[in-house]
Amino acid sequence: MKPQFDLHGKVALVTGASRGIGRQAAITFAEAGADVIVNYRSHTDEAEEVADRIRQEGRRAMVVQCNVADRASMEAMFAKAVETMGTLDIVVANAAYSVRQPLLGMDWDDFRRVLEVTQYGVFHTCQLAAQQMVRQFHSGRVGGKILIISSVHAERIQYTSAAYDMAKRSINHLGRTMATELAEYRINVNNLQPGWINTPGEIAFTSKEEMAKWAQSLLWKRLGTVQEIASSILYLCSSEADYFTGATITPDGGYILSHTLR
Amino acid sequence: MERVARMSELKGKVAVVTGGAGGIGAAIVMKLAQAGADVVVCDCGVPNEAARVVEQVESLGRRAMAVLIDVTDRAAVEQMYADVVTAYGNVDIIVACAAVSSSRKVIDLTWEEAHRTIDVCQNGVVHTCQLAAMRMVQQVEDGRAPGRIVIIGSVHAEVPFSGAAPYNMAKVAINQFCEHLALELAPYHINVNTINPGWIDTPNEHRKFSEESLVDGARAIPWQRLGRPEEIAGIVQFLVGDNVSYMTGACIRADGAMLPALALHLPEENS
Repeated sequence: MKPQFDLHGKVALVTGASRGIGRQAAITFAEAGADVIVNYRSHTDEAEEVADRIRQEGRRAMVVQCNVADRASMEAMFAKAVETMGTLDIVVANAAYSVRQPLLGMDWDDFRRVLEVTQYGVFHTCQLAAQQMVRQFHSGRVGGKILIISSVHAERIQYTSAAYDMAKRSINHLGRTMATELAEYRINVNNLQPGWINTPGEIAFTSKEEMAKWAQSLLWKRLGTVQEIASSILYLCSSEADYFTGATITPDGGYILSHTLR
Repeated sequence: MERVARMSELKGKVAVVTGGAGGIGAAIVMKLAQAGADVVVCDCGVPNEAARVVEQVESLGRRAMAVLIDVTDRAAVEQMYADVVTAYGNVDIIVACAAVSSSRKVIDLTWEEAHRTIDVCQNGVVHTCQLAAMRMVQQVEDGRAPGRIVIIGSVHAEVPFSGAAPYNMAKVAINQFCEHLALELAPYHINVNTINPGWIDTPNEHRKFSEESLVDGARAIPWQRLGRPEEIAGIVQFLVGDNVSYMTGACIRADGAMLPALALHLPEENS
C-alpha cells in the first residue's frame, strides 16, 4: 500500500509560520493539498511571501498577525480562521521565544516573556484548536491533528535556557494530557522535538560560523534542515499517523545522545 | 544517643516552607522544627492555620514566624526573605510546597484558572527558589554552610493525568527547574532536589473527594492506603540533613507504588 500524505480538503493553521520550521511546515502542507492559515507576530513581508507560495500551489492562504501570548487576539484569530476557511483540521503550535540568561541574576520580565509565548501561547493554541475540533466532531466532521513543536531541550537542559526548557518540557506534558482527553473525539495530539535546526531563530543565538563548528559535536555531524522537520510534521498530520497520539517524536540527528561530559 | 543527634541535626538552621500552614507543608514545618530548625511558615490567606502551626513550633522551643503572602507575588517573596534575614540572620533551607489545582479538561478550562494553577505551582516555585538561591550563594561566599532547597513536585509530573493539564504542566516544569537550579548551584554545593509525592491524605483531599472515594482510591494503591504528610516530611528531613551531600538535581518519588501499578483496565471494571 502506498503511503497517503494527501491533505486535500484539509485546513491547517501554523503559528510562527513566517520563518524557520513554521514557514516550511506551512509550505509543505500546501504542497500536500491543504489550505493554510499563516500566523506570525513580527515579520509581515516573510509571512506574505509564505502565503504567496501557498497560493502558487493552488491552495487558499490566510495571513493573521497575532502574538500567541495574547489570549484575546488568539481567540479572535481562531474565530476569523474558522469563519473564513470553514473548518480547522490541523493545528501546529510552533511559535516560540527564548531569552538566554543564567537563573542566578535572571530578569523575571525576560523569564516571564519566554513562558508567555513558549508555554502559555502553546496552551492557547492547543486549547482553541481542541475546542473547534470538538465542535466539528459534534457536527459530524470527526478527527483533527494537533501537533506541538517542542524541543530536545525538553529532555536535555541547557545552561542559561531554563525558561525555554521548562516551557518545552511542560508543553510535551500538555500534549500528552490532551491526548487522553481528546481520544474520544478522535483528535490526535502529538509532540515533535526537533534537534538543532538551521533556522533564522538559531542564528540569533549562534553565528553561522559557530553553528558550523558546533555541528561537528552532533552524532550526525550536521544541523537539521527545516525540510527534514517539515516532513516529520507532514507525516504526523497525515492520515498515515492516525494511530499516533500522546507520542513524542524526536528528529534530532542524535542531538540528545550527543551530550557528554567534557 | 543517635536520637539526640538527630533531634538537633538542624539546630541553628533557618527554614522557609511555602504552603506551610496545612497539609504536607505543615507536616514539613513540624518535622524540621523537631530536627532543631527555626521555621518560617509561609502561606496564603489562612492566618489562623498559620498561627496554629507557629504555636506548635514554638512549643518545641524553636523560633517560628508566619508570613502570609501569595507566592506568585515576586516582590512579596523577596520581601519575605529580607524580613527573615532581618529577624533570623540567614536562610538555610527552602521547601517550595505551595500549590493549587483545578480539575477540568482542557476544553472546559478558562484561561484564568489554568493560569492561576501554573502561576502558583510553577512560577511561585521559581520565585521561592531562585530568590532564595541568590541569598544562599551570598551566604556561601560569606563563609556560611551551603543551603538546601527542596521542591515538592507530584506524580503528575510523571503521568499526565486527565483533567489536570495545568497542574501536570506546572509540576513537570518544576521537576526540570530543579535540574537547572541544581546545575547552577553545584559550584556552591547547594543541593536542590525534588520529591514527587503520590496521593497524600491531606485536608484538601477530604474537601475534594467523598470519604467513600478516598477509601476506594486507597484500595487501588498497592500500599493499600494514601500517603501521610509526615511521610513526605520525613523525606524532606532526609534531603536537608547531613546524610545528603552528593545528591542534587534528583527526584524522589513517594507514592506507595501507585505509578508502577498503573495498568490497563477493561471498561466494565470502571463502572
